[in-house]
Amino acid sequence: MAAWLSSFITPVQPVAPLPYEVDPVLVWLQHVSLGSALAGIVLGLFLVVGQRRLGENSLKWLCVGQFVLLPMLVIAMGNIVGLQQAKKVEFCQSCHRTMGFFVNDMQDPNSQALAALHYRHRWSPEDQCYACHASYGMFGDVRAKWKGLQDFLKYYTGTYKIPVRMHAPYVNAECLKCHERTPKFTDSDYHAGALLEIRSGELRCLDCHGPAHAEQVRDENSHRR
Amino acid sequence: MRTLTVGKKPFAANPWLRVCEGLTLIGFLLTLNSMWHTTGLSFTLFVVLAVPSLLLSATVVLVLLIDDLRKRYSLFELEEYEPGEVVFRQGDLADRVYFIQKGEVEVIRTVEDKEIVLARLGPGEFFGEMAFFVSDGRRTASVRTSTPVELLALGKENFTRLLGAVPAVQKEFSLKATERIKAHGR
Repeated sequence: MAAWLSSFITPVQPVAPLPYEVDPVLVWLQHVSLGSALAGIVLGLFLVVGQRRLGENSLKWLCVGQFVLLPMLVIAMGNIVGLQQAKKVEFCQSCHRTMGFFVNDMQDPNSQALAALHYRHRWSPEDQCYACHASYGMFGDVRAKWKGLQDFLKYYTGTYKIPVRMHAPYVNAECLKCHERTPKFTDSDYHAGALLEIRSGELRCLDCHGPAHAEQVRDENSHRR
Repeated sequence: MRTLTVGKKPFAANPWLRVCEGLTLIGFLLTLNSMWHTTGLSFTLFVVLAVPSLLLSATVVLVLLIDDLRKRYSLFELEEYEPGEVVFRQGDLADRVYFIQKGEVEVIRTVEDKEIVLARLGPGEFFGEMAFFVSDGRRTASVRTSTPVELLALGKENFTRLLGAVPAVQKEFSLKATERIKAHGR
C-alpha cells in the first residue's frame, strides 16, 4: 500500500537516454548552431543599442561577425542538423494531417501492414520512414530531401490532396537494398526463379508482400488549391 | 570613373544596415526555433525564410563594406553634385578629402540650430581635411553645393599616406587647417 501511495508522491525521474540513442555529433552541432544563433541575437541587440559608442573599425569588424561569419555558421550547422533531424519519425509525423495517419498505422501494434511489421519487429531499428522512403546512395538522400521540401511547401500552403500519393511508384530497389542478400530472400525458390523480373521491376515486391500501409481515407476538403 | 552620389552617409548611418539587422534577427530567431525543436514547420521556415534572410543580409553588408573600403582607398574619384546637395554633414565620420574641379560649395556650421556660412570655395580649392587634423575623425562643418559641382575625392587612407610620404604636402595642408581654425575656430 505504501509503495502504491509513494508512486503518486515520488516524482518520476526522466529516463536518461542510453549512448546508442544519442548521436553525439548531432548534439554537438545542434549546440553550436543554437549558440551561434543566440550570439547573433545578442550581438545584433548590442549593435542597435551601443553602436554609437563603437569606433569605426570595431563596428565594421563586429558587422563582419554579426552579418557574415555567424550567419554562415548558422546556415551550415542548421542545415546539417535540420536534415539529420528530418530523418526521424517524429519529424514526418509533424505534418500530422497528411503523414500522421501513416505513422499511427505504422506504430499500431495490431496493424498487419508491411511498415507496421518492420517497425514492430525493429527490422528498421530507427528512422523508419526514411529507411524505406530514401533511395540508395548520396543522390537518393538529396532527392528525398528535395521532394520532402516540396511536400512541406504543399502542406503549409494547403495545396495537397488526401489520400496522399507517392511522387513515383515505389521501386523494388528500396526493398532489395536490405533484403536481396539475406538468407530469407535467397532461400526462397520463387525469388531465385524470378530474380531478374524482381530486379527489373517487372514483378513488384508489394504485389505479394503489400500493402505497405493501410489505405488513407479520402478527404474532399483537403485540397484547397 | 564618374560617380553620381546623392546624400552620402558614413557606414554606420547607412539605412541598409538597419534593414540587415532586421533580416538577421528574423533569421537567427527562426534558426533558434528550428534547432530547439525540429518539426516540418520550423525547418520549412528555416529553409524558406531564415536562410535567404541571412544570405541576403550577408551579401548587402559585404557590398557595403567593400564600397566603404573603396571610398577609403579611392584615388581621386570624380563625384558630381547638383546645386543644393549636401556633400557631408557636420559630425559625420570623415572618409575622404575633396578637391574642387568645377563649381562652388558653401562650408556651413550649425550653431544652436542656426546655419553660419564659414566660407565659399571654388575651383582649385579643397575641403574635408580638417577632420584629419583637428577633430576625432568627424566633420567639423557641413558642405553644400551652390552650383553644379565636380569634385575629386581622395580616400582617407591615401590622403594619410600622401601626407606621410611628402612632408611639403603635409605642411601645406597643416598651414591651411591652422588658417581655417584661426578664422572660424573648431
